[in-house]
Amino acid sequence: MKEREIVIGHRLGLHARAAARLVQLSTKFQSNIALFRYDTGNPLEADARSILSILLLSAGFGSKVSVRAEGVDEDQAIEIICNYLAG
Amino acid sequence: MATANTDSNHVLVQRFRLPAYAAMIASQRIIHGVVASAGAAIGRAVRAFDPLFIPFNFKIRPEQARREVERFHASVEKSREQLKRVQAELKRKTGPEPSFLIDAHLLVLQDRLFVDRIIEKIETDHINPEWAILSAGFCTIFSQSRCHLSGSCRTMRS
Repeated sequence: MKEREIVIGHRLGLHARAAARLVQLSTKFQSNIALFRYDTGNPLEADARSILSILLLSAGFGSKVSVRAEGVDEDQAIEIICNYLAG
Repeated sequence: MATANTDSNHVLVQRFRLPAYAAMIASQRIIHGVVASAGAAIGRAVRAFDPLFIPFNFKIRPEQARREVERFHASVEKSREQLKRVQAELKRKTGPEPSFLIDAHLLVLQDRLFVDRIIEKIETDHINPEWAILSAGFCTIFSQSRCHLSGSCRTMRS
């Protein structure tokens, strides 16, 4: 399992279009990928293959998000997802 | 002169026995609007809906739940087809960039979080799918951009 913290670099945050792109990216990997926000009152978790759960994270520009990947291609998944989120 | 979609409304009236709704759609109305532009145009009149305006919320009997779930699935499928048509049109007219937003709507329609939650509400709260979609709370996610789950809401009404 790999986990890495990243700061959202998209100017509009994880809005609908960015979230859609993230889902499309995540489905290319076999690993399970999840996003976490620990900077809110209650920690939030989102499945990277569910656009609604990503939107419910409400991760705006500058938010800290942890990306966790678990599976055969976790290294590649973490790298590509984090690069995308960093903007 | 504005007319309702009489075929589908007739089905709704028969299915749900809504006399007030029947009376409303039976009449044709002349609509006086705001003079927004100079001149006049002759063409098809289209009734504009607030995507979140649900004309009827009602409780269903437990044995109706299965049929309502099927109606919900059919409406999701219809919305998907409509969105794909719009996306193809957008790509043709304006290039790929604006059509990416349609991807978000398509992904919502296949999101288990959305689909399972609506089905759960229909089956446990015994409410019609339109009400279930509204009360599930997902519509507000898209409210800023007015990109509600309008496809499925609207299709459910037709």
